[in-house]
Amino acid sequence: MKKLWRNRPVLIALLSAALFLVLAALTVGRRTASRAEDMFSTAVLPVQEAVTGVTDAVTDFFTRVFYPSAIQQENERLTKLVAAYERRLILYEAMEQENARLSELLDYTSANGSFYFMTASVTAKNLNPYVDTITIRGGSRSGITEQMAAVTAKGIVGRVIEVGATYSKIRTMQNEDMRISVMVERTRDEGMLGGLIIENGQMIGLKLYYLPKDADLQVGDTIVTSGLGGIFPKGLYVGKVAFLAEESNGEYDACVISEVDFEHLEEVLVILGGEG
Amino acid sequence: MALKKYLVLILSFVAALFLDTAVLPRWNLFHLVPFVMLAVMLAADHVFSLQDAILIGALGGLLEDILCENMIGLTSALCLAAAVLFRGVIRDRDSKLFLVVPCFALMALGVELIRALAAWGIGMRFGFVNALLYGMLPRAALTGLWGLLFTALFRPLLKGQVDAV
Repeated sequence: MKKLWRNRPVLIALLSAALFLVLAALTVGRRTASRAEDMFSTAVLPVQEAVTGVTDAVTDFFTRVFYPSAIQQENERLTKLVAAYERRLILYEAMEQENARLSELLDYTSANGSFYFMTASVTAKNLNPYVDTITIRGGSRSGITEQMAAVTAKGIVGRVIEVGATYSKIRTMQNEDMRISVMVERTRDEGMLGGLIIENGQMIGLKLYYLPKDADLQVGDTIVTSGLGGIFPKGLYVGKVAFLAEESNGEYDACVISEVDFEHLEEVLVILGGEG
Repeated sequence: MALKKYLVLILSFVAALFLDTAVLPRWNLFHLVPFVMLAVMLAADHVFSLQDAILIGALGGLLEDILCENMIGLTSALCLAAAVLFRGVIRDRDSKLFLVVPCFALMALGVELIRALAAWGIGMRFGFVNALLYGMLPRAALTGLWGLLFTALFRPLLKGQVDAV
């Protein structure tokens, strides 16, 4: 003991470690950021964004330098193709607007299914690879509150679990504890989605379960949110059925693959509320 | 010389903070992200003193936790434990690098294992053996190499310094 006391740095380190462990235990699962956390995150956020921007610029530079000319030609060809598709898209948008007007005439009393979105850039990702959380720019000042849904054009990202003044943390669908009520778009059978299917250390999809026993589920079926649970509005695209589980598998009914690229998320849409 | 030492330590600290939270999560090979703050701390522990390591580990871990984690303080606690353990194993700052670097990696592996257990404790589920083989071990090795880099950076600053421990 005397030896330990003489070696004060070791003692201080061990005591501090114990205090930090207590702090960690106290902060597990909490929902609201403290004032100090809020101030620090708000101060660091712009620098973090700048660092991220520089990283992307350096990546782009090296990509351009090392790309062979054949790929550049392919790139030019694809650029032209994209331009053609963009022109076609403008036509489609005009048709969509026309369709919207006709739909409005036909069914003007029913509420439309659109929502108020807020676009937020991803500023940080979790250090711990086993707890998938992302941090976005935008918090309570932008109208974000806990439990709001975050999506991209390719599907659901997750839900807001912590809100600061200018940032929020989102627990992604890759978390084992995320559960959402869903339904099969074709048959309207309702079920639950959540939990990871892992093979060889890689996540291959999400578990779909609690479907009715007579559910006519097929590979390729589209899965959308059912609206139950109150976090995710009804009808949001989630993913597609990749394969059906064997009958002996009592754990889940099918594997659903989300098209969201969680590794390279740069922006998400937070649903602030419904319209109408 | 002392001023230069602290300047390099502060710059390494800031670099590690942004490498860990902003750069490496986007820019990496095979999704393997080393724990740079731990590497800086262990290198400072080895080359300078335990006090420097305590400061870096406690502050760096806390700031990284605030930026990205759910359990605020866990990273600091693990860093401090690793610093003390490392100091217990490698006492001589002139130890050969082929001993020091594996020790860095070993500390990093310990940190990875406890992080995984903590995640398991709060309900996360993953294949442990696969996570060990494809995640923890390569990440720990990478952290060891980053530790080598920072050791090489810090050692020239050692001239004229007296170890406080």
